[in-house]
Amino acid sequence: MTANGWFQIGLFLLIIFVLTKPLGIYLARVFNREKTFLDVVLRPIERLIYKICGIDENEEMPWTKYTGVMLMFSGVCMVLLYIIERTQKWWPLNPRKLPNVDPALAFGTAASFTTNTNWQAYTPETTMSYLTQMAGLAYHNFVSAAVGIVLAIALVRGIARRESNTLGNFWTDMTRCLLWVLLPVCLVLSLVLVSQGVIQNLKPYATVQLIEPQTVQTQGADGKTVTQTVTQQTIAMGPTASQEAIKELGTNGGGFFNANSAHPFENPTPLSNYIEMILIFAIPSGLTYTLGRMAGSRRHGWAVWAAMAVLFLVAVTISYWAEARGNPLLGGADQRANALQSGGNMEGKEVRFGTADSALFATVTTDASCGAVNGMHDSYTPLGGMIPLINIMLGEIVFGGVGAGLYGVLVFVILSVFIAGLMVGRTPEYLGKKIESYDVKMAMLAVLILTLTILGFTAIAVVTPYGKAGITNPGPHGFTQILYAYVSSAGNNGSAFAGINANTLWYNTSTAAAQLLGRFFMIIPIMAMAGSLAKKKIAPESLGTFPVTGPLFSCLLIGVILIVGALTFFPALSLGPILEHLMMAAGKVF
Amino acid sequence: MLRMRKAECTAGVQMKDIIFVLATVFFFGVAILYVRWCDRLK
Repeated sequence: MTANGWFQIGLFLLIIFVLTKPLGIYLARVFNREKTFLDVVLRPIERLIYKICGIDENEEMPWTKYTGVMLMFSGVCMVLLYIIERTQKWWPLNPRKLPNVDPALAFGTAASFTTNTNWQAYTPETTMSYLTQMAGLAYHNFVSAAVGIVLAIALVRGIARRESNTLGNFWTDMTRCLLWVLLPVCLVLSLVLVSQGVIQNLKPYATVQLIEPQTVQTQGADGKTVTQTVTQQTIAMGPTASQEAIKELGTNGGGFFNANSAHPFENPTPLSNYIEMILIFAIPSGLTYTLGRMAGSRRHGWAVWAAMAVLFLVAVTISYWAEARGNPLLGGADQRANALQSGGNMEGKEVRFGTADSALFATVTTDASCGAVNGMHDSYTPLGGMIPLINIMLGEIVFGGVGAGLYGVLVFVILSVFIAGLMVGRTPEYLGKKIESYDVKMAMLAVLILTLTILGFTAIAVVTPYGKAGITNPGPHGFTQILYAYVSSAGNNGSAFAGINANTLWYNTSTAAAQLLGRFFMIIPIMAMAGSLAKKKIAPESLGTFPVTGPLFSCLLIGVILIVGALTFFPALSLGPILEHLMMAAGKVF
Repeated sequence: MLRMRKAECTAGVQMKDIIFVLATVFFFGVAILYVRWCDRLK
């Protein structure tokens, strides 16, 4: 560990803290339909969209209609993406003449991008045409992010409103989110990324002569080893910057290239790496201030932010420590940081980022349900790889995904308030509203779906031949590969351990099911809770009201998150990364 | 040319496509029923 590494981590959190209030205010103004500086340009476009689509912008929807409309919209989008993938060879902008995507892979990918997971069981450069990447995948990057944000806003309205049956209008919220938030920021940030070297073109792939021809050995059809001399390399091209910006800002994570943010065309410089990490946390962090502003308690918003920041700092500290420590079994190898090397465990990491920025990126991307990677998590040390796993297992609520992080953490807030109420022997109250049995039932339904999905699918996969067929490392590491696949899918993260062979019928369909359940079956009870909260009256604070501001509440929230989230998965962690770490200490690696 | 492409497209539809599209419709149908169930639970 180096001072520079800690400085970068500290500076990152400081930048996020500074951005939180202005971004939070802007988001609140957009969704409250207050004046913003972009109204002059965007308001006419907004009105035109409503006119063409026949939307009444003054119509308000109850939670059932809001959720139903969202589900139908997502379902149609998912089917359309499936059709685009299955017909891509007949569409233009396919310079490599890539064939139609295999049905199971197309289904898995469609589910993945619709749920903001962006789990990619394929190599994009050799699977998806430019049109599919832009009109299919990048489109979903925008709309799935917008869906998450508007659902969070609907929940915040439920908390803020009193004696109301409605939560807003899904169509106007989506339109404003896309026009006022996602599109303008991505337009600017795409150009910033281009300035750093991220490519943006529609050229066919380039073929270049190698400076130094490579001799490679492959296996022929008869099983004999064949030695070949490779003199040329194919370099993939494409409209990367436009997808990269929304990939990070919308906490999507699906890369244009297989190596994701480890690829020099997606993430060329340490500065682009830093910008991408800031983009990942920006909206989730801002939404905590939006919560405070719209609900009329800014201190509560900051208390939630503080709880998230503490959990983030603990995670990144452990991850950086584990990776900087390196592999203790590499006796004789100098793993210390010096002027010539980052030090520590550099397997699977990019030299231009080093240990600190790789550990930071891994923590940020798995805290935020993004899933982009700038290094291969499968190559992390056992404890270093355990941190991304735990981050997702907590429910993606440490800042979390755009919208999903906020509505996820508010479930834990409701549970914390409920537990606090029980402790002081009073009726639990949250910002003046009594928390009743229905609200707690809905909160528990939201928590349980993640647990059941992850543990259920992992259990099936580890005892069946088609589940075990995907493993590439034996022992506890192989178990962790399977566990990570379902944790990432159900948590809608999308990062992979990068070791598992997930492009099989079993993994394509089971991860798709996990993604759909983890996203939509979690949202539905949360929206029910929002509808219930909106109808309640405000009760004045009394002596028995547990405050939802201040360090005491933040500590309670952290405690509830750790107890409910982490302990649920402790047995699974014991069989995977913890066991692997103990075996590494005893001299055995996998 | 368009008729040839349409024929190719139709011929390329596999049983798996129908299954996956129906599975998607089924899932979202169940999700809508879940919405109604949560509403009735109150």
